[in-house]
Amino acid sequence: MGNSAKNKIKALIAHTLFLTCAGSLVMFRTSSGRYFERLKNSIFITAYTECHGEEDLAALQNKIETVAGVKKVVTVTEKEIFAALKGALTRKDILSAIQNVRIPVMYKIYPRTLDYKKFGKIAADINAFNKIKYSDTGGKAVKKLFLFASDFKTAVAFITVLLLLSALTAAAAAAASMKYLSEKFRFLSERNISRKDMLLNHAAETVIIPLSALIVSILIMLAVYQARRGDIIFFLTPPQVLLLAVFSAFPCAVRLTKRD
Amino acid sequence: MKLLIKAENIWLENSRSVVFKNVRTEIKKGDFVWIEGAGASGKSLLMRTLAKKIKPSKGKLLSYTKTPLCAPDGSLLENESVKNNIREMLRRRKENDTAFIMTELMKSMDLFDVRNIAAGKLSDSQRQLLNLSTFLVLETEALLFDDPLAALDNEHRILFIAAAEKKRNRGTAIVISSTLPCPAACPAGARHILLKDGKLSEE
Repeated sequence: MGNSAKNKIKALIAHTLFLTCAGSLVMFRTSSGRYFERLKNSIFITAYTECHGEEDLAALQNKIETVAGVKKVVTVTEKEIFAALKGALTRKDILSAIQNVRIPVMYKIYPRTLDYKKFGKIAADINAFNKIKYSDTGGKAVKKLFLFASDFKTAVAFITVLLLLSALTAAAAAAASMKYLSEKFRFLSERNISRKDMLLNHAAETVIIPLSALIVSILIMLAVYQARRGDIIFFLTPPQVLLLAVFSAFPCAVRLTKRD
Repeated sequence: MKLLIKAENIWLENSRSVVFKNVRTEIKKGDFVWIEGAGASGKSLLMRTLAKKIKPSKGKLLSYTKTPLCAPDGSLLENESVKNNIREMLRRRKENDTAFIMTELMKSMDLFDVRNIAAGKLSDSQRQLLNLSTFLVLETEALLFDDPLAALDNEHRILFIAAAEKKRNRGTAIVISSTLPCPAACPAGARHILLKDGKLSEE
């Protein structure tokens, strides 16, 4: 095998590695971000009130929203609770038995941060309101969720750094694999070969290698996604694929501008 | 003869001094021009100016063709063989017998025996011969060589001048700058120009 073919294979492998690392990083960040969002949405304080008038409920909701650390408040009215029970209960006759019982209105209060101490303080502040009859933080189960969220955040940061380092190393390797190209471009430009001629004669290096590497890396990521997707891993979106396409041109662009 | 380069009173100044002044010369198709000058007399800067790599400070430089300039520090494809370095330039030629042209050139430049060796492993003299060869295969109307003989021994200098003469006979103007006087191996009718104290004088 000639030097030229060897150089092209090396460049293709380095580009594929770089794009796979970069794509994995994008996929991991998106998937972990969405998972974390889901986790956050499953943590809330439940507060009950015996107020039933719309104005009273709205005023109380506004008051809760002013508590420091509260991100969002969702009101679940008596009717909505009945509707939910109707759907959930197997013995519907229970509902007719409690028809005369007034069910308290429920507020779902989502915290802004996943800090357990702040979460407890929010719950205490809300509990102190006169019109709140009772509030529930979820007890030990929710506390474990907080611990999990904290560990999850650390793990995500650690894996992100590792993937980022891998992507940067692979990018440097991809740029280095194209060193022969900048050497060739310098050689040709010194001999007055036009830039257009150079680019046309080296389309394989400047276009086909990055494009092939992009396709191969997407196929690798697709294979991993198909094998392990569940509902946790999210595949690349079209703008993210476009971003990878831009990334794929970087090593070559670096070489075209840097002629050493 | 077709006019390829015309310098009309060109000057080149740097921050400290005038490198050359009032340079007037014409290079026509088929010319063999030898520019002689002592070290640091401004030969390289003059060659770079004629090759349009530097803009003259004053005067007008008309160039009617591409003027590749072979500099002593010219790059090579270090990991490629001698053959592939020359082949890279031959790829752009229209002739079909490029293999024959390459063999002839390698033989005439004493590179045939090292044809399969990577450029990075050649001696300084062989590297320079290869550098010169990659310019000699160019299909162009003018070729400029800046100090091409410095790294060569006498035998190889004669080989290069003979190869350049051959190229000139096919109609390419050859301009060579050197610290050495025009050697006897130079073809009859070669123009000898002296660059001294920033002035160019033709003998």
